[in-house]
Amino acid sequence: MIPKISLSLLIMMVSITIYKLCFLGADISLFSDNNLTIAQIVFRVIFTIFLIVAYFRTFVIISGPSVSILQMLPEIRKKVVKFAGLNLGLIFIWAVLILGHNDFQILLSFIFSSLWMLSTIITISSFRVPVYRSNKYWFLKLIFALFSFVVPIMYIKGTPKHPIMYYTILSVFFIVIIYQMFNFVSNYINNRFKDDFKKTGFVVKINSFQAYFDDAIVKELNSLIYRIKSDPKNKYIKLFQFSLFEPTPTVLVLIFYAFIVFALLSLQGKLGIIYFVSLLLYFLLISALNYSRIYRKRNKIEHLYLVSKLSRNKFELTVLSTVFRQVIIGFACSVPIFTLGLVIYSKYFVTAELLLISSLILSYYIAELLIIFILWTFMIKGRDFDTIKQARVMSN
Amino acid sequence: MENSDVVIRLEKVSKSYGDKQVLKNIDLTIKKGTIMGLVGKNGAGKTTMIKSLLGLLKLDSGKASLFGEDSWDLPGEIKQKLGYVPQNVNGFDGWMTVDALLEYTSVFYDKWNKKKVDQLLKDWNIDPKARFRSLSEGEKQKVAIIMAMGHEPELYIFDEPVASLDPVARRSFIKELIDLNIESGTTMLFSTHITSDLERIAADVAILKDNELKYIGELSALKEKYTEHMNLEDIFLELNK
Repeated sequence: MIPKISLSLLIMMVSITIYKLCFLGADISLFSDNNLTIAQIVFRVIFTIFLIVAYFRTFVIISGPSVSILQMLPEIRKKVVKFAGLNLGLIFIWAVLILGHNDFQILLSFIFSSLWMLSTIITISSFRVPVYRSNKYWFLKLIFALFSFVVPIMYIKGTPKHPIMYYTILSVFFIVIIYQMFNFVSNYINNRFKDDFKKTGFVVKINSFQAYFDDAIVKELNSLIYRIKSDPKNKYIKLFQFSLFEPTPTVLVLIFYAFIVFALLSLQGKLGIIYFVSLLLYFLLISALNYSRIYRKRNKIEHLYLVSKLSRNKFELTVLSTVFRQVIIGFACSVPIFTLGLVIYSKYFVTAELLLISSLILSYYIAELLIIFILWTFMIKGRDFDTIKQARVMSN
Repeated sequence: MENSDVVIRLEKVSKSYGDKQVLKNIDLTIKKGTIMGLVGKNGAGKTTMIKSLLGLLKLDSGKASLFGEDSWDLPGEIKQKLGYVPQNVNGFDGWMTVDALLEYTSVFYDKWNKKKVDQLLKDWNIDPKARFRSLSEGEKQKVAIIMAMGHEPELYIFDEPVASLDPVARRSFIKELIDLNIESGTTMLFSTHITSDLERIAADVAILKDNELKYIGELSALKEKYTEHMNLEDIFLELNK
């Protein structure tokens, strides 16, 4: 029996290939902007989702040897890397066929975004395998983090004013990514784990920063408890919010703002609105996945249900209100930056366009609330909490 | 009319996961002040039975109630009388320090015995400033037990609470439960594989086998059925032959 994820990937792959060959034509790239159609946008989204899922699946393959029975096979790690590499290679070849080999810029951005995504996955969840064997390479980590923001913005800005600088930055970024991947593969094959490296210097500083950040959240929690004790209004919503939404690391908040800037930058050019809508749809998909993950925190939901003095119905409604509240807070936080962006863009757009952009942003948040309600209806309302599929909780 | 002495009642409870039946026509009544040990092999349905009691699982048929109230929709007042220690204690927030986690939990309850909580932390060598994620499995389990004890509930439901505890902590925990039972007449349902612990604490025992309760009653009466040299583990093995 084919696993669901592989079957979904196969269906996506076949449907994109049929669309490309039968409707788009062999010479036209899926990402070509000439005579852009709605179908093309839809298949671009499917193509992007396919790549994200396929890359994640590659890492699921890599995590295989953590199963103890597989560790007994000789040279299993080398074999797994070869298999994952073959898997990725086939995806790359197929993707190039779909994108078309005529447009160098499209291929370049595909290669960069793919390598960036793989490198990010390696950095974030590398199965206890370090990317670097020594902490003295911290500056490379910094370059990777910095350029991860700079390069997409540079790309969106279009033709570079200083081509030498542009291509130098691209080359450095490319070398860092390739170096990270080679290091990871070498450490993976040779069974070198993160725990084997003594944490010194920069890492210690980062850890102490993390501890400082954790302390700040604990202080915030203590202050919340103090406020609740003096005024218990909306007590449960506030308490649930602290538990269901793990405190967001500062870096994620910065990524959130970077996405907003990225979305506003995409408004430039004649196809700006279409790009903007595509990005909003993409954000919507990500937030739907995120909110479904909140509802899948089975252990927490069970715990909160049992400790709260709420009947089942009221408890379920309070979980819903808690998630709604989080969206409204997110909306309130993004309003200033969206407003600032729109004020700056008011130089380029007429009032009607500004109204359209504002209503799109508003529609996005309404759609987000609607998705949360639908997910809640299917996952929480009147359900067995024990049968909720447990989500991985990072903070544990 | 519901007997006010009855704290836990299961009537003809059945539960399946897909085609696999886990509980079949389970009947169980536990009166106030009883310490009932729940024994069964892995996958016998102990956790399912406990979760059905707590209203975390929908029953296929039958009725489960706590303090005379339907388990599926327990009123808040009943939940305040309940202390539950789950098998998996990794649901709590890892970034919280132990004292913050306990303080957070205390806000949910009408009463909280901070003095007792602090004493237990001290007795069990738990650093209140340690982050939950940095604790060992045994320490996490100790914190979960303390969390369940802080509001001094009338009913404790433990799902294998001592699995990761060292012998010293296990003894201390069992002593705490016996004291609680003697002083306050607290009711306890205690699921475990460590039958020697049950022999120290439980007066009554329920044995789950093949989705059914094969024995419910006093531990001493069960022992009388077999030779006097057999302990609960021997009897359990004999029953599972």
